[in-house]
Amino acid sequence: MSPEDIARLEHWLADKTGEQITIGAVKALSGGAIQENWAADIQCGDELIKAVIRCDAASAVGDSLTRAQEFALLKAAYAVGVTVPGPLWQGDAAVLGRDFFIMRRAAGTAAGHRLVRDKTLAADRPALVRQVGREMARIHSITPPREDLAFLTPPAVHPALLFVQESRAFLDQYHSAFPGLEWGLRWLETHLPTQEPLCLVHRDFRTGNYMVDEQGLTAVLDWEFTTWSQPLEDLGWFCARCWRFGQLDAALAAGGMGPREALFEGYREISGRQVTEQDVYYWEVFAHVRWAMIAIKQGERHISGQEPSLELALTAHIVPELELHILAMTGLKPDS
Amino acid sequence: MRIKPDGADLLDTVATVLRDDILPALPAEKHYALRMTLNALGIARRQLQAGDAAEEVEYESLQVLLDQEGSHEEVTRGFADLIRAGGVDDDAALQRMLWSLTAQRVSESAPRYFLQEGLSQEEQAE
Repeated sequence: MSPEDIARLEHWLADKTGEQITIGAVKALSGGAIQENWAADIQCGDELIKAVIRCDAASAVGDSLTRAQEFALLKAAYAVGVTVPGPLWQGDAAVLGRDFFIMRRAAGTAAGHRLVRDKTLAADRPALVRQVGREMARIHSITPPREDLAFLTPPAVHPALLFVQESRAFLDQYHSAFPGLEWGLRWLETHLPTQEPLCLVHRDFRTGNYMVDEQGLTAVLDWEFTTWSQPLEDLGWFCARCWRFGQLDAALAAGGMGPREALFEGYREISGRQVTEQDVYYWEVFAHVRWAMIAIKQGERHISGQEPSLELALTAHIVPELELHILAMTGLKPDS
Repeated sequence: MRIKPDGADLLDTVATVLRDDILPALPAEKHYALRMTLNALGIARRQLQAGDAAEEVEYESLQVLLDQEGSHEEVTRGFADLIRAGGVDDDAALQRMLWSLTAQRVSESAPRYFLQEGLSQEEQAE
């Protein structure tokens, strides 16, 4: 962020708040592939606010939310008690030349590989996983229609079936065929669970996308895939093998952090609903297929030459492992 | 006739240098980049070592099982279409083909999966 950017931000915030504004300690944070995050200390009158400025990245993926929409989601989640960074100000593209918003900065670390190994962080792991369950139940308490979330279109068909249809349409025009994924999509189609009422579903709530400090969870992050869907989708995504960061012990099935039962218990505390492993199984298969579809699209950004990157290139090579696990989960493993 | 050591050997040797000599000398924030590099070198080495033999076996098996002619890409697409249409739902031979084709990809891209899942050599190749 250039000194000119910072000066424009200060001016804009002063106008907006009527306070004297000084912005210091601006530092790039590791962001996602879709957006850039900047840490900044904002002196706003008498208050020193430790903040994050979240901007669109130069290259954004088409099917994720805008920063303005993400800000609306953050406010909605904050209002029902989800642990999210406090939303502060929605940006104006005229200020930085791209969409952004400002939120409070949560303490802690999100890096999945570190979280699963460093037991000084959230030392009581079952308690952490129970909290994740409670957070999910609060998110799912938000139901359509919502005027503030009107940018989220309720799917006209079962959300999982919509995913199957969209994935097939993508694969039909893609340069490579994926027989393993086709099997997974077929299985998702033929095992479709009964549709439940729609609710807000985070859709990327996994280890790596929430922050943790010594005490526990400090923030649920990365709301850019959130939409109206089926509640169990979030629980399946969190428990899927591909998001356990190598922790394959069944006692750590929930995000590589703790047992599924703890997640279900926390979920029941808020929602009143007792979920079972069998209920979530479909959505764990779904999670592998969905992550594989995203991985193909990320890998294509390297393959196409649009954004040469070792990380994106290797993401394409995650797909076979996901496909084989989908086959194993759906009864195709030899001798199973 | 190419001289030895071949490309796969060189990639393996490079990986050893990076892992044993370079990695310990790097600051922690560069470890991720080097680990990605090692992962990529491993995939490239395994593809070189495997050569095209497994690809050719797969191609021939697909043509025979599907009774379809065309390029490898075309018969793979044909297999994907058949799966989508439900043509593999109850066909054990095609299901075995699907497993072995996918396992072949895994053996190059992420062979640790077999170890993690306790799958034998036989189940990998099937």
